[in-house]
Amino acid sequence: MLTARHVADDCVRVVVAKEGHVVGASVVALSSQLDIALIKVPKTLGLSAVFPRNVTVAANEMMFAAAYDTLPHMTARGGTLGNATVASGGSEAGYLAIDSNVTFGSSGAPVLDGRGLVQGVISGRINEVKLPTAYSAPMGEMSMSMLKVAPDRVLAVSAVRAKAFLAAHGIAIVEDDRPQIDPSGSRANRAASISARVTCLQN
Amino acid sequence: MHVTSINVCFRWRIIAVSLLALWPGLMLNEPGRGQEIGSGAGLAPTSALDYRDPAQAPPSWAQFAKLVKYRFETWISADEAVANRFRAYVMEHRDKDDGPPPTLVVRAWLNPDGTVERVSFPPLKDPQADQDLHTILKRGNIGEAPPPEMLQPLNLRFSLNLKN
Repeated sequence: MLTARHVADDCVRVVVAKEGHVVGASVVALSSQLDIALIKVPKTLGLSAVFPRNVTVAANEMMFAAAYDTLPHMTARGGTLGNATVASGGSEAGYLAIDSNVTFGSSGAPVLDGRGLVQGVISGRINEVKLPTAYSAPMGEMSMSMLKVAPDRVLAVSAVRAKAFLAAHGIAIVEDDRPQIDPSGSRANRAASISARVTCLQN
Repeated sequence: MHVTSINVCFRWRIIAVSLLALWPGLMLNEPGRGQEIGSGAGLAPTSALDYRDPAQAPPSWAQFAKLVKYRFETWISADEAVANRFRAYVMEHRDKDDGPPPTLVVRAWLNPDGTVERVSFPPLKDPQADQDLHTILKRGNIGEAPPPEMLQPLNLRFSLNLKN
């Protein structure tokens, strides 16, 4: 499973939960450059994510991103097509910037485009992103400038970099540029199908 | 977020559902094609021509079929009375005259809200097991709505292979 690095770092135990199933996970890799981590679970809980092969997203394109724990509420109300947009600027190398109201607990969540493809992995709000040490200095400068124009701006590790990270660790992924969900299908439901709650236990 | 498919490995024995998602129609009577699918799937030749090549189906259909497969696996492997009884039947009667077949093609009809409207499969020789499997496969919600244009029923081939 992919999650944010700051979610899986410095954990005594990592626990993954989904729909009543709880399994322990082990940390396989932490990116040294991006806020992304690879963890291993003994069984797949849900549907595997599909990444874009080549297709990218454009500014103002409708996206979906939400904390895992908020998804049941969304799906119970009939689902959600989109709740975020691709930001017109403010992205950083390796990251996708979106305008979204995601809150605490969304780190590691997928950012889905209209095709149901994973275009990013949530890192955090632009003033909360906890990048690895090598990126901490430039991030501080960027945070200050971005906060002036985009209080709801959220950074997600881009699909391109997430795929490269997975490939570097020998993980086979599913790639496709074709829609993986019906145009009228709820992205909230698809997010729920490919996601699980990841909890870091520190003692 | 799950990034790759791995074999489902539950705490104890499971019954795997191989994903042979077939949809009816569209390729009806296409020369040769249906026969290839039928023979590869181990289906009766008379029904083979009624199926659509999974490779030609939209990815959204395939994704939904994978989700149905996951749900069916989860429900069959659940630690509750009916599922436990069904797995016990399979374990105790496999390779026996009154046991389950090695593979079972299940036809499933899904409602727009993701619930299972109906399932159909060749009757098992044990009435209780037959009823239990119907109960298990209709008990929950798939979690997503089927693509509106998706042809139904969805045909899934169960491989009744037990893993310890």
